[in-house]
Amino acid sequence: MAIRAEESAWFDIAYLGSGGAFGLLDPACLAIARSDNGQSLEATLKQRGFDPQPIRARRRLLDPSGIRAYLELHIEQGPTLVARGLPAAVVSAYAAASAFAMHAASASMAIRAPSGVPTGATPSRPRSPFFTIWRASGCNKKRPARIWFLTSGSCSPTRHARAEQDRRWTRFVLDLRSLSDTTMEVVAAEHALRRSGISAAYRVRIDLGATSDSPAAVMDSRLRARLMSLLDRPFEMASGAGTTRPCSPRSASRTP
Amino acid sequence: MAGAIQPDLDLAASLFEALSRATRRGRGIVRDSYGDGEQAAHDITRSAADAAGLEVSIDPIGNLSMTLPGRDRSAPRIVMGSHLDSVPQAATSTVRRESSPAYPCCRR
Repeated sequence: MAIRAEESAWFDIAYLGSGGAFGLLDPACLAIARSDNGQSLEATLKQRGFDPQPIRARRRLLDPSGIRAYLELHIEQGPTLVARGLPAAVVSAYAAASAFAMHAASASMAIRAPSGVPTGATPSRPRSPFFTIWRASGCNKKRPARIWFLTSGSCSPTRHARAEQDRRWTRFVLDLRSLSDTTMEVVAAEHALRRSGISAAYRVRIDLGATSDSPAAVMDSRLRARLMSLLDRPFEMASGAGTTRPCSPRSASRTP
Repeated sequence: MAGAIQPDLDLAASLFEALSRATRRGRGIVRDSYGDGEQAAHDITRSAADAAGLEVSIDPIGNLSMTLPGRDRSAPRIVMGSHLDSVPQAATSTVRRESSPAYPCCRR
């Protein structure tokens, strides 16, 4: 099964294709605009020749009772497998994800990403106040070690609903991932604290938009054990942004 | 993997090559949800399924099912799948194996 639209970078909807197949989507999602061209999901579906009606009616297109098992094929971990010379591995869990989409503006300075930093990359030399959020709340090596990752991206000038003549608004996105819901809560709280501190220190106004959240999903331990038993060289790793890496005993022990 | 089932690496390589040709934009992969990039990936995948003789169907919101029928069509199905869209400018790495051209892997 080739599932549609599971990357929420375009439509900010978690599991759009599979959720739609099982009739689980909120029909209000049809009004959500694509991030790059602003076209609604409903208009986009129609343009492609598809039908938004099942989503509007929360109608199932796939009956769970007719499915004995589902195996999700993952390619994101491929480079790790290639590096280790492994033909296959088991993905042990999807990390929880929270995306914070903020609009920020300063009357005194332009807010910009460091030059040469591609979307989704981790800046090595933060320069703007907003990368200070990342630096202060995420990557301080002296903090208690927990497995979580914060990716900055999409730091770009934008038109904002509350635009004012003297302020240049910047859309700024942070993507937080962890295998631990507790860690997600702790980091989100610290993020809010740092955000207000930075806002005051740099005299920058930050409007926090709606956050997009999905909880961690850890595979059933019996299924993991069964799949691992089928591998000649058993190996497993988690999935999700920076967590696309092996679950070693050392890293596992660091999970709160 | 244990057992007799072996991966068709030539098919995998040809799929990756076709996907790269169709959806590479500069240094990354762009397969936008319900956009041209994702559609290209679905078209390529469907062609491969047709060539393999699988039963193909598309649901009203565009999910593509490619079915190898079992002996008992009423029995619950085993489904394998994944999404074909990517984040903007998804990173890639090039994989080489013996007697095969290089093919890129998508990585989030």
